[in-house]
Amino acid sequence: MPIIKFITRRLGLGVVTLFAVSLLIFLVTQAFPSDPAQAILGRETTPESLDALRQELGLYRPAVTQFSDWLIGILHGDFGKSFVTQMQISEYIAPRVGNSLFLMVVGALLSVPLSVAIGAFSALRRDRRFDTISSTTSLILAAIPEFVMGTALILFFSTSIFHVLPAITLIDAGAAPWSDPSGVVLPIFTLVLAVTPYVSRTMRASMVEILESDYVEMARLKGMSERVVLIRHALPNALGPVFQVIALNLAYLAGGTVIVERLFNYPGIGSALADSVRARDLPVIQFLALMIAGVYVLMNLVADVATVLATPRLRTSLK
Amino acid sequence: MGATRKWGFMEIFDNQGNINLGEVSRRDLLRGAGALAIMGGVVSTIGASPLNAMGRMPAIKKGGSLRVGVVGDIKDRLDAHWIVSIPDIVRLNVGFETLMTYDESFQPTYADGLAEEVTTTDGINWIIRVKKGIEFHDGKTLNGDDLVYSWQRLSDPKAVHSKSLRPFLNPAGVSKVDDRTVKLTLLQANSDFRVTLATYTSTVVPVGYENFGINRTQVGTGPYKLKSFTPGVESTHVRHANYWDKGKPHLDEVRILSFSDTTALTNALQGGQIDVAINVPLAMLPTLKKDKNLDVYSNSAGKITPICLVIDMDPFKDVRTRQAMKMLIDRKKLLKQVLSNNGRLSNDDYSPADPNYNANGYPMQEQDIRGALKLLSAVGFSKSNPVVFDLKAPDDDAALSGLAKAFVEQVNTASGGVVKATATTVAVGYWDTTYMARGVNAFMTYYNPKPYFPQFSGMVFSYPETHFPEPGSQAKANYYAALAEVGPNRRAAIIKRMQKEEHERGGYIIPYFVNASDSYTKKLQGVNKRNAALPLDYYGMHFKNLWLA
Repeated sequence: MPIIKFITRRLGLGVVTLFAVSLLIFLVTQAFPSDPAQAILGRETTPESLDALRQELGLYRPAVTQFSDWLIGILHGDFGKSFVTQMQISEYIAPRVGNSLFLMVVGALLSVPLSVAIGAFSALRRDRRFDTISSTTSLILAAIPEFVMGTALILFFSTSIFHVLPAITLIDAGAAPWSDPSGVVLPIFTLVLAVTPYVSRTMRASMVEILESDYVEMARLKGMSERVVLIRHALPNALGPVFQVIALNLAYLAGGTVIVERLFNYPGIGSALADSVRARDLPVIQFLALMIAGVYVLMNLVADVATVLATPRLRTSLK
Repeated sequence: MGATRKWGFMEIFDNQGNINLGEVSRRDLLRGAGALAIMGGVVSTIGASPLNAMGRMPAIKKGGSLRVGVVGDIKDRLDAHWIVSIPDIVRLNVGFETLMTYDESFQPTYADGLAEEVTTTDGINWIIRVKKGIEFHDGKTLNGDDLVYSWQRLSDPKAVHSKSLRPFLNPAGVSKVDDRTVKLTLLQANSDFRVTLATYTSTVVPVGYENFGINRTQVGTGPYKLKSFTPGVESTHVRHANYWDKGKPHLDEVRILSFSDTTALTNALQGGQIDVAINVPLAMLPTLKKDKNLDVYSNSAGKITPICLVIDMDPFKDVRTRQAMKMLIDRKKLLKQVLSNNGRLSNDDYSPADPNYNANGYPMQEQDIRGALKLLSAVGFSKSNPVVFDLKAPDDDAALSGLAKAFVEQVNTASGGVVKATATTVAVGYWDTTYMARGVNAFMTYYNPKPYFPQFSGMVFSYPETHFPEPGSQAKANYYAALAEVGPNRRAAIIKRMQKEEHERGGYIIPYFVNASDSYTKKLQGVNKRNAALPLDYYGMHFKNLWLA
């Protein structure tokens, strides 16, 4: 099965990438100003307690040992302990991963079909009113940073014009993100508005190109119904490049929600990352950075495989 | 971290404050203390209950959950004595109580404190007796052993907190007298030790309370007991059924929610998801004041944001350079520019609520460019040999970085090029890497309001930011002498000498006092709008006076 071979090869490359990333993360976090012991104990501390804490955190080990210990731990499923909260990282981060995953999945479930539909429909109605409006709107939306978008939504729906939706998400510790359903509307809405323009524009461009291709014209000339032409011939081929954009956007959702999470005070990995950078909580920073890198690698792999499977000429070229 | 990465440490144990007895003798005061406590209770009750439109007290509504928002992060901690940031102070106050509290002029009072009587005859031996029937959250009655344990924990020389208590007390000086009484034998006389008892970190804990550092428990005598705590997210505190102050607290529950920044905090307040926002940014005040659902309370007790010039480092070694900097600035303009006039002018001094404030009656320093340039020229500075320094500020408080920029701009412009200063905002880790760091000669800091003596102690002993006093100075000796002195006139004379030296040779530039502002829903009742060391009058005295209409 050539496709299995392809996936295996890409997985191997992914592992190599992740190793390189982990090395980079480690080096970057080592270069942080001030040491974690100082950041944790604050300034009102004694050299003895600083020394004791550094010892406890294993900061006196040689850098190579620290790195290899960390890597071996990860391979054994032990991600270490947060310096600051002294909790196991898995225990501390798990609920936040769940929360972020919820935002990401719901955001994707809404934005992907929506953007594919808008893109495809715009291509079909090329240069007509729907296309003009959707293209202009998506161009404007794509140009607005998420925090501006989110702030505008908050002003409109929560604080200034209407008071219909909560301005922030309040999720109790241990509760599921859907326990505050109205609280997640605006963050999800912001993410959907952030992702949809890119995907729909790519979809439109791809679809326009396909609709002008010889084989679509051939299919039409053969007298096939427009419906069959679109669904059987145009759509699968148009989706190929769109998968790549979707994957990148999903990966973006995994790491790039930092701003949206911060804006809405959403307890996800984005805000955990921001918090841990401030607190110099190295194990948490390293874990989250690696996890986000992992999501990127995985998403790209999935996109590549999906593209290959969806595109007949790529599928047949695999050996 | 918003206006918020506060150095709780700075607030901790700047203990050696002062009570100005005026012409009343100490004996009179002690005799009147019981009456004062009762009066204090009555006054605070009246003050905390606004009259309604009919001129009648509105009936207090019991129950409900109060949602309090504050900027915090995963470093949020619970400890009775060792706390770091503003959310820690809020949580400390909801669960723990002190033996005494401060009144409006920062004088120790028995109102809302656990102590019934605090006496001394010599300023060295202090007898503290607590009220009857005070119960901890775990059901245990407060007794003499708990008091001994609390003060031994506070004065533990190995502990990271309460460093400024060390010259006065060590664990050996703490002994039990009876079931409600403890005796503290100080290492040196301190006739104002009551101020230490009123400091909000001098809380009372039960025997065995041991959770330094990161912890998730809270066992105090406060009106609410801890139900849950997740650092950086929230804590929930439920009504302490056997609370000693009968009829209180009014609420069923207080929830303290952490916010990543002040934007999310004020959005949540305006959106109605929280009832109280602690420490709102100045830039938001006009918007919040316009909101018909919200109330804003500005505490003008004297929060300061000093510019620290290190006096044993160039270019500030020569006292004339420091004086010139103080003369070059236009304080009124800084107040308007940085605070939009949400404050009042300071003469590089502090503790305006203290009776000893500006004991020498110095007139406000006006901008005096000619005088400043004359001093600088005498030191040897000129356009070709300018005063060069870089003023560092943190990024987590716009009031600090804003003042740094405005200050630098003013001294550069006013001096016509004789001063060439720059301002740098340190993006991350200012308080760990830059503040008071070796080689940094000019930087920003801030302090919440406190009496003169604790503030002096904070700046000279706990956080010697400017390295004041100079070698050979009598400032520290004067401080100890003033604390030990019981004669009001002799003491006043010492204080004048202390303030004179700070005024003439100090390294702090304090152009104004900042009004610290909090905002809350108009449904919140029981807020005593007086000036206090902590927001909302100690958060409605541990939230026990607050209720929701």
